[in-house]
Amino acid sequence: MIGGRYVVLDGLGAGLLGPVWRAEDRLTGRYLAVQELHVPDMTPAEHARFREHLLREARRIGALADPGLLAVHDVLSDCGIDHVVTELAVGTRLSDHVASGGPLAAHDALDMARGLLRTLRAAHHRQLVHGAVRPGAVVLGDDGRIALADVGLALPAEEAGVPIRDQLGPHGVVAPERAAGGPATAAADMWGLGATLAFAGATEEPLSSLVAALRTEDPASRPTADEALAMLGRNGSTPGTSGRSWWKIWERLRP
Amino acid sequence: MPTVSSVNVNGVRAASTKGFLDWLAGTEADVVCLQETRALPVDLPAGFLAATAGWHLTLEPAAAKGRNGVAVLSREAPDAVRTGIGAAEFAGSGRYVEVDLPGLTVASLYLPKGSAGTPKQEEKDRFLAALAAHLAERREKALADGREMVVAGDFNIAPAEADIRNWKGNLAHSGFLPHEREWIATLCASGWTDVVRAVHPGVDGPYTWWSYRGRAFDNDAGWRIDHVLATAGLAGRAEHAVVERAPSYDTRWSDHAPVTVRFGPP
Repeated sequence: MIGGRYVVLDGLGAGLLGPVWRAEDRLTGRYLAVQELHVPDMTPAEHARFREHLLREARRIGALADPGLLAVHDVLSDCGIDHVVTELAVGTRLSDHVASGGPLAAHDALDMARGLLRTLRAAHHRQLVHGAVRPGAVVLGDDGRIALADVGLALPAEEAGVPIRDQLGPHGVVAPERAAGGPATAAADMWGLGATLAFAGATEEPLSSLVAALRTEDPASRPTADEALAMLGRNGSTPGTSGRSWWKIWERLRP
Repeated sequence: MPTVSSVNVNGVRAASTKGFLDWLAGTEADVVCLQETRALPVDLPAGFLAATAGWHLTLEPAAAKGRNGVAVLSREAPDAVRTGIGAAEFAGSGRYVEVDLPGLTVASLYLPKGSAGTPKQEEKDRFLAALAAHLAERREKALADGREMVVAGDFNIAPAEADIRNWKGNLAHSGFLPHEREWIATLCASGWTDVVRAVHPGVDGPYTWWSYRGRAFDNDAGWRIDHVLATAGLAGRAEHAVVERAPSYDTRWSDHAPVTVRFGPP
């Protein structure tokens, strides 16, 4: 039981800052994801700042109410460990999906790209930066939903001294300006998105051109989410793809 | 006899809600050194108190609430308890406690985690200097009294390349800095033995810490930073040394694993 309210059911694996548990909210009966946030060696003042920053980011996510972002339900401390409670996304991470099933089909990759871009556009318009866009942060929901996990964690963690860019894995998702020690920005998110799309198998037009454009070294010249969506066609709605849903693809891949 | 175990519990309250108490119930250790207990006596949960009812608990919390903290659990009652490393700067930091058991002094140590090029590293380096002097003095005293001694805990230093999976990527990081490795090498050349390495020479690991983040645990991308150092006479009696790595990511109750050494009779 975490925080006297969330009954831990089982482990969901490693999150950006610590273990993630599937839990039942005893108050509402809802199933949620509870992530432990391990940031070592904070002074009490640093810890207070970290908590405040987390809450601020959680409120921004709440204000956005974008279906592409997992809603934050709670931020709490239990037994001296910080936890963030988010909506539970039933599905598979893009990283696992590609590892077990290979690259996505071109139209699926295009659907996913549009979904992620719409979410990043909404977030960036509100000055909300993800900071850790990578294949492991993309949830392909069993119900067809595409969502970004770990939103609102990277910036507070980095401010508290955890070098998030070191945690992001081998897919080239760290923008060059970030690798050089620069801060997380919307442009760095776009670089991470380019690497994520490349990982998913974006080899056909128009995605291949977008990936190439997102690989622009100079962050100022990299396409924004708005510009990237324009490259993919108006608002992401292209005839022929609207009936497709992720669960069908997921069903096909199931043993 | 005895068997000595050491583990950084990453918060004894949190560990107690996961699997720490089950581990404690099953351990054959006679002495368990704990680090990062992060609790005042009054904060210890009922489950922990019940599970340690057959043990003697020596707890050295930090003055700053919720930070650091070391402890020793022993099956026998200590004859004496001492805290600190003789440096005013680290008094009340909850990083060192030692107990005298029959014929054996056991210290539980939580060495500061540094960060290269920051004041935190300077603090760690000052701690290293004070600790080296303190351990030399304590070792001499123990031997003069006809006792052996063990210093077990989280040293936050990987002694050599075999002690860290990605050593090349960490050459400039605290925990693997040249002067830190030099410090532990000097310690081991001055009458202390790194027991796990002595029992397992020439192998990579066994690692004792894996970041909670990413796939470090699944890929066994760990660090060997928790050590059991013993005086030569005792170290020569080590029969068995093991890191009790959890079977899977979600069965861990700390980001460190217990290091357990069984010593044979004299």
